[in-house]
Amino acid sequence: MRIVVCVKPVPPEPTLDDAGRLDRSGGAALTGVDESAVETALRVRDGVGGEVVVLAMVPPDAADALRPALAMGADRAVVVAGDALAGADLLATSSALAAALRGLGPDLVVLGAASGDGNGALLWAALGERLGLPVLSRAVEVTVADGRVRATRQTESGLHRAEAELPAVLALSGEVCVPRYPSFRDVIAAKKAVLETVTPAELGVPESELGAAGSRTRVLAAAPAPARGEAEIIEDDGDAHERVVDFLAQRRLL
Amino acid sequence: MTRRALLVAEPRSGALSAGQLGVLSALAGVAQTVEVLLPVEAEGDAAGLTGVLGRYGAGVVRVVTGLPATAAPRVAVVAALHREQPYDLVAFENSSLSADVAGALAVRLGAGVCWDLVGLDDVAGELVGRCLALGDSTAVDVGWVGGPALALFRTAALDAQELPVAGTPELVAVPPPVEVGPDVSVSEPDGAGETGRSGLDTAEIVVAGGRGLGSADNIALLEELAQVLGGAVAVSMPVVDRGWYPYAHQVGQTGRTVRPRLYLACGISGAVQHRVGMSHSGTVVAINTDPQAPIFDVCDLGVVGDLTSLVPRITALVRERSGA
Repeated sequence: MRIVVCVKPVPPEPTLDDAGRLDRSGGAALTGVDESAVETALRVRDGVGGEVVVLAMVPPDAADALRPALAMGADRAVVVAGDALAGADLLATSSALAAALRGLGPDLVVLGAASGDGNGALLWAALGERLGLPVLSRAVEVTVADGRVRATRQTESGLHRAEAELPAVLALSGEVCVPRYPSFRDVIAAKKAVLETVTPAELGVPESELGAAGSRTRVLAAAPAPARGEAEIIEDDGDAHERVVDFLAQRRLL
Repeated sequence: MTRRALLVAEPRSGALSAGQLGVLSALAGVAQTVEVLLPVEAEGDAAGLTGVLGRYGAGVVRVVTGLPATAAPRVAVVAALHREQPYDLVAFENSSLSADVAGALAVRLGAGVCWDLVGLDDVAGELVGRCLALGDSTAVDVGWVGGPALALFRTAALDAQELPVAGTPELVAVPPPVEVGPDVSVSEPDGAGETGRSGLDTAEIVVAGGRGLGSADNIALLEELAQVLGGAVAVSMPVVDRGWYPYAHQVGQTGRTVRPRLYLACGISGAVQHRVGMSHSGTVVAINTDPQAPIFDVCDLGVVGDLTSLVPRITALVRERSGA
């Protein structure tokens, strides 16, 4: 079976540029939730056979951020890149990725818990809608067998079991597994691997549905958020409990 | 202009969270017609909620019964309502279910969706969403192009404001969806180790623990302190990932957001993923062995020390002072 993992490499300390978009000048790397998603996909593949494809929509110079996923054992890495994709909101991002996914024909689409910057946790639902596939979100444990994906989901009301027929979209909850550590040999091989590239024109989607043109939201203003006042920091020499309780009493919190 | 808004409500155990009523208040502030889509198990369950919805601004309550706890049927119901009479604004309080509904609805309606909202205003006739981005470091104003504007609010982010004169909402039954796309099948919540209710939604005092607890056994120390303070227990993601405590109690990016009067962070380093869930608490007290822990950047009082020794002493002193 073909498992496609959607990842989003982001700068280690994400900031916004003057247009209120993610400033991508600081390099990019996979996040822990992305690595969890890759690991989950690899475990499914190792169980039932097939291939793992890592997919990302990134500026061309950030494509190398997918190489660690290849080093972990992913079979292919596909980058959707091009100027027409810049400034995409959720709607436009899902449009481009859904088109790329259609081209790949996955049996299972896997996403991490949330991107490292936008943190919307909405993309999987949008992809499921575009592809007409069932969506299993917030999964902590996953098994694939008999043409079905079964998951234990974490929600506000506790743990639930849910399942869906393949093909399906699966989104994880947090860093649900420890990513494998690639060998030195695999890291070197991944450095030399050829990344596949898909251009906006190859997606078969009108440009009006991609990037800023296809977006239905915009950033009007961005400014640093107001910070909390100066903190009092003390060391516990055996009597800090008195200071804590006095402090709570002063603030009428007892 | 006149604006039509819809809150897609998500009652839990027959009640609506204060955060959802806060969203309703925000809608009443920017829209002339405010409706609520209220999914309930049986039709009779709606009656008890109509009064409170009227007090916070609902003019029409559309009741739909018997929906499973999955996204697809809700997407179908909202899309059908929108086709009948378009909304300018469709709002949700964030949850694992409402995020799945909002994401799919954006595509179905070709609509923009903004999330993590902590405010919503009408600025010269345009809707402006206020949100905090990038680990709450940045205040961002967002707008929508075309409609409907899909708005996903941060949990417990808004205060509910009662109307001076409560309205009596019109109750309208909504037929269940005829055609629902591909969906998942869900079982009831597993019982094992999960109470499902953390009390965090309403707690004014939250005692939270992180990796620094060292073991699941030490959570009992937090539970005791929470008990004497009349608060609830929260944990950070590493605690849940290690299986020490249920997810319902997880605060942070992949958990819930809390805004209590007091947040007492014990053994939590304060990674940005956690801070986004608690940084708007009234007073923050932090205990950590590492003086460099980032939690000390977002607290009012910080103690460099070992929680396993300090927390029991705080519990004992609070007990002593309250004469219990």
